[in-house]
Amino acid sequence: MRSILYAVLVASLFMVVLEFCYRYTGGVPSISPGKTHLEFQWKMKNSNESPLIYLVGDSRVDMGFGDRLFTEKFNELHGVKFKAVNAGLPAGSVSDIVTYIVGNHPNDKPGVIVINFTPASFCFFSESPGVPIPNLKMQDFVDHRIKNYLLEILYTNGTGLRMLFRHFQDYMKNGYRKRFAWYSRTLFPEGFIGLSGGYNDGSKMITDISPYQKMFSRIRSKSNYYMKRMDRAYNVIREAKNSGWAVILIRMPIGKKLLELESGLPGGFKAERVAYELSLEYIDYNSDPRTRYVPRGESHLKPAGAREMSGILAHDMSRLLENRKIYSELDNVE
Amino acid sequence: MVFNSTLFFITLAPFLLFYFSGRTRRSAVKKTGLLIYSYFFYGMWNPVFLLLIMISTITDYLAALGIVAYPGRKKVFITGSLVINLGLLGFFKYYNFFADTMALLLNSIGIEWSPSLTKILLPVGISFYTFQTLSYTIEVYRGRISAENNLLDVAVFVAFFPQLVAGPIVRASDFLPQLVKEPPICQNKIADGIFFILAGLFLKDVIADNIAPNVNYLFQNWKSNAIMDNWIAGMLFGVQIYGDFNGYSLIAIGLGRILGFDIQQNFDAPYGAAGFADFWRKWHISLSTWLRDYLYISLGGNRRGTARTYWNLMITMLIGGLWHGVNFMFIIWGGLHGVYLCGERLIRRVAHISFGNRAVQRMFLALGIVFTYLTVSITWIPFRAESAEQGIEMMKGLFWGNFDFQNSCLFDCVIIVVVFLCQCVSRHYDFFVLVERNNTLRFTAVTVILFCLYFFSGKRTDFIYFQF
Repeated sequence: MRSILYAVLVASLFMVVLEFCYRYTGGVPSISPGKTHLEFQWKMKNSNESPLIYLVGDSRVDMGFGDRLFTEKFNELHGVKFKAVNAGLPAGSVSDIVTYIVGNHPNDKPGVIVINFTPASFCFFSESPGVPIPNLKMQDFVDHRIKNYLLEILYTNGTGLRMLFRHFQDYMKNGYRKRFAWYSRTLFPEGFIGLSGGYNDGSKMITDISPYQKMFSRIRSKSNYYMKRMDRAYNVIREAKNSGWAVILIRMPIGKKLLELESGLPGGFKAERVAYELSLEYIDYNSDPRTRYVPRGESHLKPAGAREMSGILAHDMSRLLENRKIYSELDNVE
Repeated sequence: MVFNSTLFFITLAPFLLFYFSGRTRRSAVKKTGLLIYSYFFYGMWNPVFLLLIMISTITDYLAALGIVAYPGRKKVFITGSLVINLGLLGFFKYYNFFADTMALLLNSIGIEWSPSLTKILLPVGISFYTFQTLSYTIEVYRGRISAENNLLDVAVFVAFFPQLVAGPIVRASDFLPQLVKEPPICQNKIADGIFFILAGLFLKDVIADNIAPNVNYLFQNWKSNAIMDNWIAGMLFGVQIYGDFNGYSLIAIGLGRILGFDIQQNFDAPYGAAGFADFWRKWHISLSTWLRDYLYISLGGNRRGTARTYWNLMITMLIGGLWHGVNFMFIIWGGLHGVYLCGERLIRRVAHISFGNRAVQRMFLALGIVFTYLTVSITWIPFRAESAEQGIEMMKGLFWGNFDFQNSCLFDCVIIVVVFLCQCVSRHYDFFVLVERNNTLRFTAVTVILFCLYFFSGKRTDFIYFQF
């Protein structure tokens, strides 16, 4: 027994030393900057009530929409018990997410898909929910959550020796490199995610729209290529509508600088064009007086803003439903 | 629940605290706690299927008591036990196949029919615990053990969580006496148990889960596989299934040791086998001995003439294939092994060759080991294939096609060779015995295993044998 205990002590000591060396030389954790594939699929698997409202998009949805809060407020306002699902993924592609939802919806009846428009999620990002994981169980989900939490404490867990070797090799060659990373995730009970990031030298994250500037500059320089990707999103949304899904387009509130940047894109990459081409109900919350003081960063809502926005969305979706603009099949559900 | 998960160890810790508190571990309270935890463990899959385990338990408890109380009518009781247990197994395992086949046949002659029940979910581990409970009633019927009056003991035997879901299939004659005696808490046994668990996690998380994506890639791209790719696919899957299944068995044995129970080994370096009979003495030992003792011997074994022996061998191996599932490919797998065993028996009868020269003996032994390994690897292709077409084409592709590596890589070959060589070395040196006797070796092995588990664990996949 002693040999096992000594082995555990030695192995733990070695891992602690390696962890320290990794951090000392500028290593950063590799946590997912938002919902993971497994978490997405688990959410969908456990949402087999009817009817369902999916809010689809990238990290703006992942961090800006509280599906549990929305469900509560929506059902207070409206008689029929809907369930909302936050179907946002960091760097999520709308085409891939909608395709996944339509193809793997656990319920027989189609529901409502609310898409948050961002140019990136329509034509640039490519993150999808992944291949459906067979026999996904509660244990898999809990283990996944534990593992993700451990990644916030043990940066070297699961990295593999090859990656560590490359890291130390880079340090020997180039010295300490300033790196940005996400250091922790907060899973808010309302259903959205919060992230906290920073630099490995301890300096805080600067809210910066330069990544968007670079992205949009690429979109402008290769507009034909990115327009084809927009067309793919159009086709996917059309197919979803033809399969009985009600689709609504929204644009969640963002900061002034980013708003101005997005308005500089060619017309084909704008929400109004998407809504017109696909005949979608469209709500732009950037020009809505109710969202003027919703707490937000330049690109994402803050947690308080996510809570407020969820309430506003619940009210508006309920209104749309009452006006029967979106979902005639709901007559049968009611 | 699966063993290679943090949640399992989190739930195990309070159970072990309860189990080791107090002096006696075999008291009714402790056994009840063990049973409750076992049911909780199984219920995490699907609590509804606990009813099936309970039905099997009560059926065989009553059948065994009936056999002892009414010896003149013992055939009635054993028949009842067989019908109920095999009936449940047959329904859950084979209903979908027969319903679909019936629908296909009727539709082909113009009769519209669809099965009244939708697809039946297969309860996890039903093949394992059914065979386990049957071993109890059969042993009582044969007079080898007496019937247990205590339902709790029978329930613990059936539902014992370390081996409930994927074996080893434990015999009542081995396990039930252990429930009565009170072994002292032995640090060495606990240390052995921990080592077995770590070794099992290493085989599963580091070996099997890391090569799973390569195996999946080779089987998914089977149409573009060259000859060498198909061989690599078969052998690599052989490594994966060995790591996966033996990993699970070792964890089960380790947990059993910690709890004070001895469970038999399920694998004994099978890829170091020299001959097919030798292979089946080393691969999935609990199933092969169960089939030998309760099916092959019941059919007459080798006591009714040569032709009957071959017939019995083929039937036993075909049923062994069917045990895995009603699938043409499993039948081919079982049939191939049956043919191998019959062929080997025939050669031994016909060709009495012996070599005086030790070097020549060793050379032929080595050739025999390699030949056995290659021919067994061929059978892994139908076992893993997702369709009959794929299985047949890949098997053809072992001997016909492009002689090249299209989809495989050097890493795959290295893994196969290393595992094969380790298995050959294990013919002479039992690694676990060596570790038990040498603290330095144990220290080194545990350190390396922990290191590998931390840095090299692959993406978790389900245990392959859970689907059976």
